[in-house]
Amino acid sequence: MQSNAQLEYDYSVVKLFTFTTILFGIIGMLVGVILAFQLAFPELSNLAGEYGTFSRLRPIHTNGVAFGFTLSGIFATWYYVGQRVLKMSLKESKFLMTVAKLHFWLYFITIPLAVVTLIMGITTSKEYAELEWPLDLLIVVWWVLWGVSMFGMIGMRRERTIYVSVWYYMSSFLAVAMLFLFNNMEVPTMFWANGAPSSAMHSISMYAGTNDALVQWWYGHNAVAFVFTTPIIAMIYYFLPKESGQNVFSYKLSVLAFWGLMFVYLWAGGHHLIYSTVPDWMQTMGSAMSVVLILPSWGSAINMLLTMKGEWGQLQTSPLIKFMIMASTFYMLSTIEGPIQAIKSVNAIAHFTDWIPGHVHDGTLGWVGFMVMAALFHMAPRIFKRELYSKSLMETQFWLQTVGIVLYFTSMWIAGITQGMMWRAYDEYGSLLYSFIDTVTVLHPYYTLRAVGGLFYLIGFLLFAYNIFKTMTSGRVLDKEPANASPMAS
Amino acid sequence: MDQETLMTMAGYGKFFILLFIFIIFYGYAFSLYKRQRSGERDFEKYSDLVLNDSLDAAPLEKRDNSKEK
Repeated sequence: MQSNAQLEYDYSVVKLFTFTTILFGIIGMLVGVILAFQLAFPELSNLAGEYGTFSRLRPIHTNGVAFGFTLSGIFATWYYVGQRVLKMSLKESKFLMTVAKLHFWLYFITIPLAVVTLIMGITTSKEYAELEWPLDLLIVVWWVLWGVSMFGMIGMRRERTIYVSVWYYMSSFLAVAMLFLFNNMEVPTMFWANGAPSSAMHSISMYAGTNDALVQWWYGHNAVAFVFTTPIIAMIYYFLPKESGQNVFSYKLSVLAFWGLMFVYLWAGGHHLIYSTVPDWMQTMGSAMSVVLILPSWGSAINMLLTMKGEWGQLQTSPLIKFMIMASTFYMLSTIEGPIQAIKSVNAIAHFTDWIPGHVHDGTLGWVGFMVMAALFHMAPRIFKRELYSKSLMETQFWLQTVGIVLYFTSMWIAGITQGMMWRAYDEYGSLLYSFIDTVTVLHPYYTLRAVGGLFYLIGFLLFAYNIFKTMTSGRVLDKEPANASPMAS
Repeated sequence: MDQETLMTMAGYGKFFILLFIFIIFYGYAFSLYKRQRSGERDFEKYSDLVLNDSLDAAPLEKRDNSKEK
């Protein structure tokens, strides 16, 4: 190892992943807004032939925001936070630097390939795991590279104790590796077609029927856990104390909540299959574990809110703190809402309704989106060595997006519960009172409101992208790295 | 097995799963706070890993094998 004095942290890979976070964020969210308008105004589905239909675009939205925007944000913050809390620089190891760059470029190639194959209709038809087998193999390669860089950096650390954020990143790496491998066990049909015509881009799952559903939702729910939750907690445990200059309220609580999440989350996926053909005990377990999950989730969220104890004034002065506190608040909202939906009697109304995407989006827009953007805002003055371009633009973005999220989830709450009640309503002879199209007619205003809410969020995201671009190109140059609060021009 | 027995078993199952997790959670929490109180380990100082994270800051706890060349 070289002497620390000559060294500095290397942010080249951080910058690359920062760019892709913004790029894939714009694409993924734009497609989301188009989909929302299509649901409200179905004639919009016919604008681009088969390529513009809801079914082609939907996986591009989900994969784009989860594995394009969020994963890029996770990788960007990992290479930033990882170096800093482990007190090692990527500059110290040519090998790790090469691995990190290779990780980025292979990832960067994968995303456009994913978009092209999905828009062509090449899909495994497994939700959030639509990509076909050649792309899955490519993903395995860069995921392993991320692991090599992660454990390589941990191996070179100067600090004896590994900070809790790094635990959360590690859990994300290990759990997604396991989930991805098991859920994507697929057989490429061309090798077993016995001369029958078969596309090279086609495979079938190794599991069938109920087993397939179980593995799928064990994967699907834990993709939420280990892409949308643990790495985002990793971010807030670093960026909130750092930006506010406060100690974490309770480090013990952070450790306790970590093991709580690890233990409980993996059993909760069964709640996606309540009232289905999976064994009843498994549905009960999924439901019970989901309720228990409130404990570790709120443990982390409350820990973050209490970190601001005595320093709540910062909420007024710093839009960056606002983003993080709102993120934590939305995390609390979605982690109480999820367990409520997982209770069997509530699920009888909520299942298959719009309340579910409503729940997903107060988590993803409020918690994941806000936290990833806050992390990028905090990192920008440090990686570009420039002051943040505009505080007022940040404020505008914050309020625009907050209103957008509120419009989104309130409209979906009303739509979902209306839908659930109408589907179940029957007369004194036991006949259903409404046909499906009756619900569609009633829900139209809420679908329109949701689309407008989504549009607000997208406009806010474009303001964010512009603010970061201007920071990078014309922000005031900083002569030294800010210790805590990020400098921002008014 | 009839439906009622199945539902009863599911009910007991739910109760014992909750009890089991309750004991594990609170047992671990108790052990953390006990170790802090008895001075065996100060967990709270690890917040400083974030606040003092510049590369030239002295490590909070140096690794035994991180000998500088």
